[in-house]
Amino acid sequence: MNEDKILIMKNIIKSFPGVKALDDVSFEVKKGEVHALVGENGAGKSTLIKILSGLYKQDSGQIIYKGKEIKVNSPRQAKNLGISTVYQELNLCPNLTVADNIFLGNEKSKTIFQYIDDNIQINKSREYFLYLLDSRIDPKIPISHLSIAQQQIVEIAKALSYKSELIIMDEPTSSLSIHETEKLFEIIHKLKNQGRSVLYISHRLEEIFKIADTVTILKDGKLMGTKALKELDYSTIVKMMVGREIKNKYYRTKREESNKKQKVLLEVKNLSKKGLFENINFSLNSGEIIGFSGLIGAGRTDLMKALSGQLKIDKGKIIIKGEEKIYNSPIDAIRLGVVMTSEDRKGESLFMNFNIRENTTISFLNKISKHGYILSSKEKEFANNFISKLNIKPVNSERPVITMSGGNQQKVAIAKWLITEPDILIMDEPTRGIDVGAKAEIYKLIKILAEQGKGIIFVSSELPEILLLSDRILVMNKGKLTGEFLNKDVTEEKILELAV
Amino acid sequence: MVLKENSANSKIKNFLGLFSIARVRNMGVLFALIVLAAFFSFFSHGRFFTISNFLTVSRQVSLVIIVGIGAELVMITGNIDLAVGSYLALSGVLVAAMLRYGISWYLALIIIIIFMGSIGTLIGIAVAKQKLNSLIVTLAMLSIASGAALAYTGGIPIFIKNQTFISIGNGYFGPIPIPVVIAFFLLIIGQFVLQKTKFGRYVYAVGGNMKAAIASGINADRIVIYTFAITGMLCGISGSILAGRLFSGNPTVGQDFNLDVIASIVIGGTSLLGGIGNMWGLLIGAFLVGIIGNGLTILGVSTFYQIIVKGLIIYIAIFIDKQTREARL
Repeated sequence: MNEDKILIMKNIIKSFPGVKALDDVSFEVKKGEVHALVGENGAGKSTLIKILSGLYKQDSGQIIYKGKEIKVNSPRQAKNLGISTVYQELNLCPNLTVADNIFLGNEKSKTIFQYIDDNIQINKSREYFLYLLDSRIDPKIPISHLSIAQQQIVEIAKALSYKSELIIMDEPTSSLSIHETEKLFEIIHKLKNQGRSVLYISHRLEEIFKIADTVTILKDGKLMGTKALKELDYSTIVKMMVGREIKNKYYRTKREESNKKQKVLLEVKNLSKKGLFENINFSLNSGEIIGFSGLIGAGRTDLMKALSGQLKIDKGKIIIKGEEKIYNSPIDAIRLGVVMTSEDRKGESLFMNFNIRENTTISFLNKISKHGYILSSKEKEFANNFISKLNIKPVNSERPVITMSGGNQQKVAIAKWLITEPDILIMDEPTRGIDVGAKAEIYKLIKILAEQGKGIIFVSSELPEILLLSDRILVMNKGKLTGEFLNKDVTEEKILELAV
Repeated sequence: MVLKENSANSKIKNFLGLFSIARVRNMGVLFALIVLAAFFSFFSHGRFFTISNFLTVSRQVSLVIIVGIGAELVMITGNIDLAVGSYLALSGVLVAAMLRYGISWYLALIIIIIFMGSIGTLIGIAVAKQKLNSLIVTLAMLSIASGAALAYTGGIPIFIKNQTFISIGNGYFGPIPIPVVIAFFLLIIGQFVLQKTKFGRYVYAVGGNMKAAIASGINADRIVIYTFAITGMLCGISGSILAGRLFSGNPTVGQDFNLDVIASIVIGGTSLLGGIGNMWGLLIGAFLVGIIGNGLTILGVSTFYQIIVKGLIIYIAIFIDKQTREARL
């Protein structure tokens, strides 16, 4: 009976100082199946993957692969056994070619001089791409020329070069557009047909329903259950992940014609930046939430960077609260009340060497300093205020940010801006890499901010999110604004049509 | 939202917080310092562990510390300044020259501080605005400054007769050498600025994540330039003190100085990558490096072997620090 199970994990326990990351977790993956692993941040998913890929060693418990118990002592050993991992942060060398990357560490080399046979590598790569993955990537070009989606396919080809039968994919679609995700799913189906198994980790439950055969749910390091997909529905999975019901319908009802005068916060006229976007026109009112949809590379992030002072525009006008403004630095933008949270919070928003308090107040120090000296009790007061407002965990402002979950880190990044009392809040992929529970909290926060009269612009590649939150939806395609809808008038199809 | 920040208690607490042991980032090096001190005391039959020796070491170390304050700021932002040794020589030479031309000592001091600060500013501009790598730029400046000092003097020291200057370098404030007093005060100010001011916070921010710092509204270029300017000024001060002590502006000083400063900072727990570090680490690191040379001299070890031993101990200290740091993270 065990022949059809490629992987059996039995009673895995793994602890770190102060936390039990995996508490007696057992599950099985069948041959040729797509097995989804879901759970909130901190549930133990990445610990599990790291054990399987040789980065960690479990404290106790067995791993049985292809019927034999194995000990995975290193990533290299995992790969040689046939277990490959495609990480969210791709592990490719941009300066090397595709073929070089596929065979990195596994080169087809001859003689004692280790002369690398490029031809064999190139041809083998072509084989993987054309026959196994149905992709037209040229093995001879440098990785830096490829899009993220294509780089991901290269990573999968790398897994094939190790003849992997178990391919682990960690948040594979976080950098992919809708179209590219479909392509990835096609590839996953192909892998299934070849008898390989895929262990698929994702926060995006809609995807799980499209691609998975079986779902294993973890919560706080414990196994909540393993079930076939057909036995599950959305709310059951969420309940098992989170232990409580999540009201996910943050509808934006018809905004009441409130007695508050609707101010026009932002007007953008003919905004252009060569090579990135052209002739962008739209406006934003107070209390309004605008969602920008489109494929990756459509120019949305660049547009947002221009609006928040991080990018110089070539042509066009930005009018804030009725006055035309020209600004080229984040400092000026903040002063004008325009702030932006980046899609890459670790890279561009947060300081990993700082704690929560320092991160929260970094843009606000002018207001809590006297002659350059930071008033520390005032600082703590503000920090704690926003920690409780945004329900940030841990509650201790002195804790380092590096240990926090993605969702809480994102809240800190948002708190940093809220503390400056902006009028316009721009958010680029506000819930990237964040689990369902934290997502709901951020949606609620966005809704509250809008009700307070702020104007919110957000960029997202998750259509459900766009449809959930936006009053108006703007679609960009290859740098141009191709559509603008009111939420009630729009469907997913209409958006997709204009995005592609 | 007005909070009364002026209760005496909280002020005292804040001040003492600057000194808390918790600020010392790596107990490993402090431990090594104590062990080495014990080792030297024992093997020197007490010659090492005397007050006068301690003051000697402190006097030597004070120069490293004064410059180290600036270099620490530079390194926390993720840059490095390899030219500090040559700045020492250049400052000494220029100050001696000014004194010889009859410029009063306080004027000479002010001028040299401004001058060295300007050089530092130029370096800062090259690094921040022209985006040149600080390692390479300061390496180039090392040659330029040192060459300038040698060229100007023809390789010969310029003698100083000004009594004030000489006493700054050699004199005492009570029982404590004047350079030590100066270093001590500058260190306290440095730590205060780093931990308690906007500028200090921005230094950490720029070093921790330059992109995020810019996006957060910090003028990162300006911060970087300031760190180099401050380092330049502190080199002017240190170079003047050294010239006073040597009774001359000497164009050949400072050759070991670079290594001593950087080693002190790194041993003290500052990451070469930036974002982490504080002045107490500099203090401990500087003393560790200082007592190695001092202790070995007392034990009669030749200078050649001293250099080898110094290198080895520095390697061990950094290694231990890395191990303890990783365990913490």
